[in-house]
Amino acid sequence: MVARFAARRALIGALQVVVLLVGIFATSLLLPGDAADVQSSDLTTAAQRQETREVLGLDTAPAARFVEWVGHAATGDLGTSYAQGRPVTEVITGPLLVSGALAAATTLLLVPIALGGGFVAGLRPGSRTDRAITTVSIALDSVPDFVLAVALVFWLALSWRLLPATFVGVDVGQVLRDPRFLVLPLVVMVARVSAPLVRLVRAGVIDQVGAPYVVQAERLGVPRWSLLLRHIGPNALAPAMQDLGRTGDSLISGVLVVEAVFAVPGVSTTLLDAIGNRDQPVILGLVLVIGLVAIVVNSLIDLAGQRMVPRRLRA
Amino acid sequence: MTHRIALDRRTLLGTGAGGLAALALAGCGSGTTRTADRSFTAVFQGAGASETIDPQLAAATFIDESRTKHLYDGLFEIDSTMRPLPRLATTAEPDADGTRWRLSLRDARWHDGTAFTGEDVLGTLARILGKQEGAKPFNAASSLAGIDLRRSRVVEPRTVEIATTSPSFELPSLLASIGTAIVKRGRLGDKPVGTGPFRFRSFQPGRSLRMTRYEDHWDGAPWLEELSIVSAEPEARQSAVRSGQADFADNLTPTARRTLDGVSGIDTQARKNSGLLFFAMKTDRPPFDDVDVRRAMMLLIDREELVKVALEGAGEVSDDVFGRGYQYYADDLEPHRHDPDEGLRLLTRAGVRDLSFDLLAAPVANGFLEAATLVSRQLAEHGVRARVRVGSQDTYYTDALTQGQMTMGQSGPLPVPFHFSSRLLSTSEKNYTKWTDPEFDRLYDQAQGTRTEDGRAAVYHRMHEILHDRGGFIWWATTPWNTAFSTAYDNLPDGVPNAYDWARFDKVEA
Repeated sequence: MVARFAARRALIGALQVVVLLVGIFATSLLLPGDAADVQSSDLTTAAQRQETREVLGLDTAPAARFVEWVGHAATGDLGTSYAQGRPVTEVITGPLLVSGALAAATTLLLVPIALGGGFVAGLRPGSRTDRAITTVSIALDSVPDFVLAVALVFWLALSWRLLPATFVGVDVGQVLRDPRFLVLPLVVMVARVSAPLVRLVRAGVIDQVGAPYVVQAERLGVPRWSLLLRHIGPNALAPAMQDLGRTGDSLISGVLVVEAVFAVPGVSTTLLDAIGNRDQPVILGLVLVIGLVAIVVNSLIDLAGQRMVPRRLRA
Repeated sequence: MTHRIALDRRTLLGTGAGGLAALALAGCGSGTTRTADRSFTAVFQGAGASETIDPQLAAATFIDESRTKHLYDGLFEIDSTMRPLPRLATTAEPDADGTRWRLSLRDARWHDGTAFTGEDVLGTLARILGKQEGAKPFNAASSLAGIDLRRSRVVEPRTVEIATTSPSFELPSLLASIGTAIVKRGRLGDKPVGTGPFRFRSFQPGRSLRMTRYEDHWDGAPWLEELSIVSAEPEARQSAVRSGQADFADNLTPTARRTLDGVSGIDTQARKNSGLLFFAMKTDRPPFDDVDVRRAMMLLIDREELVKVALEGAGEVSDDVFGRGYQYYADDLEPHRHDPDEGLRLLTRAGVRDLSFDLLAAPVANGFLEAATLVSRQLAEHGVRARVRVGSQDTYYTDALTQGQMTMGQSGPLPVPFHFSSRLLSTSEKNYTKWTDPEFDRLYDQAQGTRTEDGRAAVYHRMHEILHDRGGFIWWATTPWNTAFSTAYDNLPDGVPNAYDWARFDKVEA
């Protein structure tokens, strides 16, 4: 059953990636100008721009370029960056590692916070604890990331000097030796993604606690912890799992505001930069990796959701 | 030195967000006591993947320029009045007709210990004029196109003769342009080797360049032992200098500068006359092919109001003559001022009614869209319809060459002759006003063949007069360049962008 499910998801996933790449490439062609236009400065001539176009291979038809790129990508070669002349894999590895590390750390913090907060609030709806948790999560959900980030930098880094303000001039090695650098970006990211999840888990729990089968089970004397772990928990979490999957995607593709405010060299800065440079090999390379990760994460989440509440698969 | 036109091509969050950050940060008076150590970090607007430290390619952004000037030296650089300043060349003597120059070279050494010679000069010129090596074209290829390499030669190790195909009494100025720094034998090794005041240590595009002091620099070893030039977005630059993570932050918004001004341990500078803002009327198509319509435009726009509103007061009104304060500026021409009556009279004389045109704009510099909208409103009051079209900011300066009837832009400081040759000759590549005037071309050639500076100044003055009377450029304001830095250091850079002493930290001391 699981194997068939996985095989089907893999097939659908592959198709999704192809559609995604075609769509992204076609869209990137709609942008005004090409890489040669962007690379030319106020000092260079139209003849030089044409030469650049030939050097980069932009004088061949877009469809042919795309097919060639896909052919190479299938063998693991993501091409060469138009803007840097370096292999795309080299250009995108660093940002992917940085964003990946931040995403992993965020998820590690996110899951206990969202589950804990959601359960505590949902088991005693209307209580003081519930109101406090709900208020905080709604507040964090409504404050724009940018304001939250700037406010945190202002208080914690600039006024009280507890934490470093940015990653400016810092090596990756230094960040690992001194994890204080990660605190502020992580706080913003966790606040960003956990707030809506807490509310979803809470809603799921409330829903299940009042469900007739739970009431009946309670009457029959099923112990409370068993009720929580075996029955309420899995059912209440199923809707939140879907949302967690979406959160994973948005984390791996980076959080632009966090990257800009803290000068983190992550994926979204790189992608935005590549779009500005009309650097299609880098754009496609990043989209390919992000797309694959998103599809794998979502499939795993679906699988987990199905394990928790098996009837969902048949539905 | 020109393409500094694209001053703020990229700011991820735009000025609105920057203002918000400044607002949130305002009112914090607590600075730190800062101590100067010999490790210095300067933070500039980054350009991501396209950052480069190849001195022939470095150009698209200021961060490239700042980085390469610490690793490499040029034969000449320009000072803040745009006059050439000898660097690796010590003297330059032209022959009688200005087609052959003899340059004496400085006694300098490369970072690997070998001597700098005339071979390095000719090798670099050959590189610039040769075939493009990678994705980026060489920036100096067109400004140095008049150099005749076959007739140029090394006379002795430290004397070199450079020949040109036509009289060129401005050659030192051309040899100071962007992308002309000398690389060893005209080649880049695996590890950058320059003659500059700092040695290469590591470089990550979009992140940082780290350098260490070069003890044997011909202009004296820097006091600093380590120098890092780092990329960051506006908000991060502001936080970094404020928290002490950076010692110098470049390119701040006026609001950010005002905010940092009150912080103890931090000084700020607004270097005037650093950005030159223009509207460009395309003189080859209606309605601006009519001289009187162009003259009317120069009088109908209200520059005072534009500076006050669109630039939030951070700028000075300018008067359609390029290069106030620079060599060859014409300071005796009557400034164009807001005079709608005369402007409307000119339009009537031209028989133009219901004038309307497209104004192509993009958020490529602070206040640009605001300025475009305001100009459109100002003109509407006089019955002129300027339709603002917002273009792509990534390719704006390429698009502006062909699209729209009126466009806008920002030029960095650059020598007046270079402004003429790159934007206003019938053969100019960056002819934003589509200006083709045989008389103007002839005057330019005449100036290049004129031996004395006074003689050239007289010819350039004539060219300024033509443009001031009927040209397509409206130079409406100059803007300051805002920086912030730690008060623990002295001798921080003081020049306008593109000048020798701009973004240069080799003279920094405690």
